[in-house]
Amino acid sequence: MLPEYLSSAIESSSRVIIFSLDKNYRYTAFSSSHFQTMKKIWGVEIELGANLVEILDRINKTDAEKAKANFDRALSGESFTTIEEYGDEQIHRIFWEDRYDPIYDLERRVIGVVVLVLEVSDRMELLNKVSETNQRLSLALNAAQIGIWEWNMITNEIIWSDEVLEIYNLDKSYGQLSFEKYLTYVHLDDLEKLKADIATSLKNNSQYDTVHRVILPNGTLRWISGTGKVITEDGHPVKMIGTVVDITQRKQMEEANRVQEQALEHRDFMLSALAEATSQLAIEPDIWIGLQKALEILGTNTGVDRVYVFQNKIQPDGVYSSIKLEWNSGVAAPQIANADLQNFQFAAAPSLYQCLVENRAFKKHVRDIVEADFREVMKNQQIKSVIMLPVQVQNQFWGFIGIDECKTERQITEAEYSIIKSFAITVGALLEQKQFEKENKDWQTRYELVTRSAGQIVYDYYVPSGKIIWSDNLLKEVGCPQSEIDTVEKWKSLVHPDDRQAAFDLRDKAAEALSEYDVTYRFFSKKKGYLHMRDRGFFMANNLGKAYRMLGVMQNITNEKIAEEDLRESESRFRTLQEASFGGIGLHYQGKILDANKGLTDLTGYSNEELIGMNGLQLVAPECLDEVKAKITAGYDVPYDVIGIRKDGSRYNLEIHGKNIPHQGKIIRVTEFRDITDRKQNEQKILEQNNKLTLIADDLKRKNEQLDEFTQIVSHNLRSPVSNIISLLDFYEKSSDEKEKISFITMLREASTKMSNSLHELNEVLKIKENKDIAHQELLFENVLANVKQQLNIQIADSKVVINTDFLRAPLISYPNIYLESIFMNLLSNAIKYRSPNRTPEISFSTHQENGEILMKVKDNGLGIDLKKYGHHVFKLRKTFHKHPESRGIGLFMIKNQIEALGGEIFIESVENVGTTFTVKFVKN
Amino acid sequence: MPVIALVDDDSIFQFTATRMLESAKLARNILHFENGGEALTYLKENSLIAESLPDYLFLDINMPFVDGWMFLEEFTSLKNSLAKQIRIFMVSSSIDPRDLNRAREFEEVIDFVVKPITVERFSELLKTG
Repeated sequence: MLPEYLSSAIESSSRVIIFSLDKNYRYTAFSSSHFQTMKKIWGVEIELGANLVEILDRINKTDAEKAKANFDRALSGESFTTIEEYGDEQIHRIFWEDRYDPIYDLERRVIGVVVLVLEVSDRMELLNKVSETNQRLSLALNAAQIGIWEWNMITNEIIWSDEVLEIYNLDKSYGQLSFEKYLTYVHLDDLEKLKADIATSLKNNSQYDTVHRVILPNGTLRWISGTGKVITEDGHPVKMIGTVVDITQRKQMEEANRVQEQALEHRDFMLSALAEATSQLAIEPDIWIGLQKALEILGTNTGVDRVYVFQNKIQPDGVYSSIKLEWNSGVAAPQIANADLQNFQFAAAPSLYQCLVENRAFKKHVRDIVEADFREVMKNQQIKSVIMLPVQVQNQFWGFIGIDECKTERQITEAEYSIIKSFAITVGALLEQKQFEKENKDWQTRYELVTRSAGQIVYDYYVPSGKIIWSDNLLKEVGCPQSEIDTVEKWKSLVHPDDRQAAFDLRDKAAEALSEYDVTYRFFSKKKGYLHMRDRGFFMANNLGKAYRMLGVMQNITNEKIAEEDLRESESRFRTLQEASFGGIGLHYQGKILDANKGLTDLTGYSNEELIGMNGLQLVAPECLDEVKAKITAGYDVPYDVIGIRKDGSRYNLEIHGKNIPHQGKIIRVTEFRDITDRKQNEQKILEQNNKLTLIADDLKRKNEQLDEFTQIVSHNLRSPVSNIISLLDFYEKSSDEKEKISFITMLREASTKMSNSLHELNEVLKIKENKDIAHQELLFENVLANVKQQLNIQIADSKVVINTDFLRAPLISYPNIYLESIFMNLLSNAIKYRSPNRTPEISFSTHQENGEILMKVKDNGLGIDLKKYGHHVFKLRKTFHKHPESRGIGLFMIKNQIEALGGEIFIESVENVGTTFTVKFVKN
Repeated sequence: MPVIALVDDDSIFQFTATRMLESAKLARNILHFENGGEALTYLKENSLIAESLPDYLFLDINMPFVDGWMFLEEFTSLKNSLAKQIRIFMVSSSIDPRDLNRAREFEEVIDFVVKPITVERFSELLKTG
């Protein structure tokens, strides 16, 4: 039994709830607070003797069971405390701290239980919070792998959280670890520092931070980061608490990072080396010098032993490569002079060639090289590992860059490899560029040559600033230096005032429209006065679409202008001339009429408009086209006649006189057309007249010859006897001797007879000459000859001459019988007369036709005549060639006259002592 | 007195000329030839005998066989082998200027004489020749 005030205190405290139960769970006592609580929470009014378990059972079976279990436990004699949660879901859960104590009687038998209930919701909340916090902390610690330890400095025990054990890979059996034991795990290198840190911390009551390594029992290395803090009581350190974190992974990562950073650093380093090498290549004008420098940079920065460049050469029998440049680290011997590396044949290293030609890198340890010879060559150079990268120039396998590792077999790092690959590509690109540049330079040189030689000045005009840059030949062409026309204003002032407006307007328009600009103007040159310039340019637009730059070409066309002027002048002169010409004149090029004068219009009936553009050949008759075409092609420049056709289709005789004229590089033909119909007719007449005249002339000529002959004959044959007579008469007069006188008379008679004979012969000849219109008869050669043979039958018989005839081919002739008889008579008697004594005389007569004329051949085998000596005498009067009593020498003369009087001819062929052939050509009538 | 040759086919001229030359005593000896051929033959045969060769030769143009021109042509090549220089007078009854010109081509032809020749003419020619 409690003292009153205590029980009332208890009673009045709302917080303390107390109740007791007997062994059957029936209330034996309870505080009013308990009553209130039960009422408030459970809605139950309790009373002494009520069965709490039953009550609870009615409310919540689970709670009831829980409570019963507790009561039983207490009833079994155990004192304990529990924290219970009561209440249902609807009510805010309340935490009670239940203290269960068994009640004993005096015999120490349990007779009931007393429960002291404290509402500890707050506390529980707090605890929960703490617990939560702890949990979180625990989780966090777990997640962070942070272990917590507490070192009781008094007991020298260290308590570790589970994490710590995990960290240290200790099993729970380790449980407590002493400080000393812990230190044995610490890495020797870090031990002293750790001890010092802790000592300092202890001394100063401060916190220490540490990072140290531990070597775990299983031998692994761990990195530990930790803190430690001293907890004091009354100024004495009593315990130390701290955290540990396994930062091994972090450290490893750090290491990896560091390595990576180093690698990155190295890579950056290499990149900058590459950049430097590349810039060396770019700025050095001589690519070989640049490459040499670049190789050095690469070599020294990559730590390799050799960097070199090979250049290929394509021979008929394969591809060869020669070492061109080398950088050497000094570790192994330089190979630049190695003969094996000059004109090294790829055929000896197919594996290498295959790689390179497919634009892949050849990365090999030398011992892995397949080809024995190739391997040997590499070994001889002390190479352990090698990389060769192809250099491509304009997609051709130009050569390769090689890197030798001579110290050890080394796999090149990815970074290094990509650097070197970049380098190879850069080299290729630079070589291409150099080639390009050279080509460009070549083109530039060609361009300059062309513009220079063509007298063209190139300008570059930058619109915003008004500045103009001119090509180098400005001074030469215009006679002033750049500085004098380096702005557009200066340029303007040099354009001829009269031409300025037009030129500027055009330029402005072109700038507006961003179109091309083509203008000529006079430009003042100090040295040369005003020059005609042709200015062609175009504007370039900026990204706002406004003209900002102009490129153009100026050409001095003064000479052309002058030529043009001249041409224009000459053209107008020509035109005047053209119009004045009485003939038709056409200018044509390749058949097409370019220009025609009025005369041609008049002549052909086509208007000027119709003529221009027309094919000139249309003016000529079709049958003459071939001739005209041929003559045009041949550049025939002599007048010739064709038939022309007018527009109305009428034909006329046309004289064409063409001439080729070179004009502006082309060949233009100028043709004069003349209507020569009249002339043709006249020509015809003239021709006819000519023919007549020719006939007449021939006739006259013959007559003249004959007259000549005649004169000769007269003068000699008549004058001779006459002069004799005169001489004789003189003698007669002077003589006194009768006998002499008689002989003189005889001689006189002889002379006069001669004269008379001559006169008679001449008369005969005259008769022949006069009797051109002698009657012709149809004669058979056979018959006339037969007649003559009759008349000469004595001579024929005497001479035993054989006469052959062949008149079959031309048996007939229309001819005067007398003449034909005379011909036969003379030729036959001559042949008989002049027969050879050495052989039987044979005479052949034959006739045939030739070209419409009848010819007769009279052939004998007589004495013949030396024609060389006497040829010119044969047919002359009184010319004899043989001392023949009967030769009077008039026969041939006669018949020649007869033949010729009728338009024929007679020829002689003869060989002395062989024979003679006379050929008589009778004219066809 | 010179030896004179008459080369002419006209027998009457031969007669009258001879008569004139003898009566005028203009020639030591007179040689007669009917045509050029005969004259040439004689000259060839007597080329080395100066006394036999004529000093003067009267040559007719119109003769049968070898006429005056033919004679002259042959004579041109013959004269250098002759023992004597012979001067020739061209004789004709015609006055054809062509004959005159042609005669001038031959340097041995001293003159051109037209028939009939009078005795006076003969002596004239032989004096100056």
